[in-house]
Amino acid sequence: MAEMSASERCQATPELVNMIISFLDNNDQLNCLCVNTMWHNLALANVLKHISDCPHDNILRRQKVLTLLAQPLVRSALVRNSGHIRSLEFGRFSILNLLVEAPNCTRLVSLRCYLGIFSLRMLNMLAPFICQNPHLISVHFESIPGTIDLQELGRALQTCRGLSSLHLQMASNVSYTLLGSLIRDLARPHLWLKDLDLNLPVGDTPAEGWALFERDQRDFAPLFPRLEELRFNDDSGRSYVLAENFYLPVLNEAAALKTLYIPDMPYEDCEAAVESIARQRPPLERLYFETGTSHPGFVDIVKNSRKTLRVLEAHELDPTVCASMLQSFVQVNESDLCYQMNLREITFVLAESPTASALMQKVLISLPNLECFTQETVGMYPDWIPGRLEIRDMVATSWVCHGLIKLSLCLGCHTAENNVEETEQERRTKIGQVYKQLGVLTQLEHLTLRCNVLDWPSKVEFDFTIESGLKAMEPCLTNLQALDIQGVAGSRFSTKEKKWMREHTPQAALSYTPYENHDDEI
Amino acid sequence: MPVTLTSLDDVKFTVDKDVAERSILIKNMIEDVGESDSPIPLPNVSSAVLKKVIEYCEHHRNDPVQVQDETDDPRKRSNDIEEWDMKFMAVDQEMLFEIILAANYLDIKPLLDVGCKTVANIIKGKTPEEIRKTFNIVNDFTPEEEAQIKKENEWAEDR
Repeated sequence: MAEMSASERCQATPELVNMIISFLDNNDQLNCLCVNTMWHNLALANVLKHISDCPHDNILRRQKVLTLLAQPLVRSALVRNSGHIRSLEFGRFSILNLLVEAPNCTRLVSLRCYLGIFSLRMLNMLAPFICQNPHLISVHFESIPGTIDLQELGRALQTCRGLSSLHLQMASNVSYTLLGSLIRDLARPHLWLKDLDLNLPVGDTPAEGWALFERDQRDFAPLFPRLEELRFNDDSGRSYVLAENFYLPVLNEAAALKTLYIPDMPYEDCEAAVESIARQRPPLERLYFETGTSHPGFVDIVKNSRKTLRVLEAHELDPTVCASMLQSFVQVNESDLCYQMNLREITFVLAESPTASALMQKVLISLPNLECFTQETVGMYPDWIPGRLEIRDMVATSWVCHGLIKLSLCLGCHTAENNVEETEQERRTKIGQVYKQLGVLTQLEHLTLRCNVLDWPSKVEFDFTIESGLKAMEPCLTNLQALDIQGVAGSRFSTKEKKWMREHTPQAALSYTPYENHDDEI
Repeated sequence: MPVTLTSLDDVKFTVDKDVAERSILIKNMIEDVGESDSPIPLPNVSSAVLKKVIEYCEHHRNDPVQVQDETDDPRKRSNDIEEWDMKFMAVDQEMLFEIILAANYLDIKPLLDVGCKTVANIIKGKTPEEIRKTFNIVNDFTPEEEAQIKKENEWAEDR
């Protein structure tokens, strides 16, 4: 018998063929289904690993998942091969209806669905479906309607002994009594819950519902011993009720927390949270301030976690408080450099102010290890105009964050205060310097640039054009995958620039988001 | 400390220990046997392929050891091959598969990944018939099976 070639030996090794197929996109994996029997079976397992019927979400998350089409053949193919499915998300049409009947669909590890649109009959299928998949480790339910049987859902979730991530987003008419009961059911010591995200609805809730929720909740708080991530979001306008009866008691007991969201709460509750977090061990790795209430103790939280902190996000905090937080990382001595090594992601969404602008510049010139930086400021007027980073601040000092992979900036200037005397040429030179700074960031994969002039309505055009330096970025940003450019309020990104970007950054073209309000007016 | 490796065709290669230990197989063998001057036999790898593998290991001798298993990462991509690796993999198809087989045998995960990504890039955009032709794969489907699979493929698309 003739000796086999390397290619043939490789083809005869399923794990190698499987590895090759796993690196392919879905369309190529679908082609592999037709090569031969072995390739078919291996490709099928890859194709069905992550299934979604929410194409828009997939594009946003840039994940390699398969999108199903609502065609009759889905039924037979999906049901027959349902044993391959590990990750399932749905919202638009009822694949749940199919899979409940599929005897092999028992190996799901991740389930994510939008429940708001389902009929009561379909909602009743959910609990049996969960029981059918006891290996689930991640469950995300969005828009849970009040008509669902929360007790049955809770009992079903208890069968998933390895459940570690649970996100529940309630619709407006949910029963808080039953919700409390569900959470209590889940807070059993044998559950390995590490990530709990509770999202409550906008709108009023019956007072008796709140009362029951308040009365019962302290019972379950000590029962989340392994919780590493805690988040709750309350849009009901009654956040203090949940803060006192859910968030703070859980926070007090959760000694393993690594990721913490500090929600919108009254000042007194913020104080209680600060005290509680000060007792937390070990230090936090990810910290998200989602409260508009600025408590000075927040600075200490960051300082105490600075050895381990990887992600820092602050929404609408006082810029002075944020500046103090940042100062924990940028003082010049060797130990501070060690702290900087861990800090990889910063997001600041702050009120418009010179302090905020200077803070953004401080980030860019102080943190050489930063990988993601998102800057957004909320303009004072009109509301829809985002604030911006002052151009004069941007060009003052060279940036050091050369490892940035993701950057989102909003640029602009005060025309009345600072720039009214400037000539077009001077403005263009400054913008050119901004592009020069951006050109240094050769690792960038995602770039979002917005620009505006604050003093609305302004006669001064803010020129972010090819002539002012955009072209100089072309040979530098070779890793760019996503480019999002928006011009607002008096600034100018023309059709010409958009075409140029599409042409010169073809790999980024798919994610390009044109902003149509200010197309070329020349 | 240098380590001597012997290929299938009995050619000896002397390399630094840290280079040889990019291979988990060799690392385990060294740990099991202890300090020894005896050559390590690699009966599944020819000298031509072993030379290429050593070249890769020498270039990547200071890379961090890859410990995370990323097999379930939905964002796995084949277009993130480093420039040096891409040039290294610019070999004929037979050598490419020899390198993959050697990387699999020697347990060098980063090299195996680069090899598989390179093959994946060759497959990209090809029809099933072109894939069969490129890799000499025999179509073992009956005409009825093939028709059924093609029909079923219409139910999904990548967006």
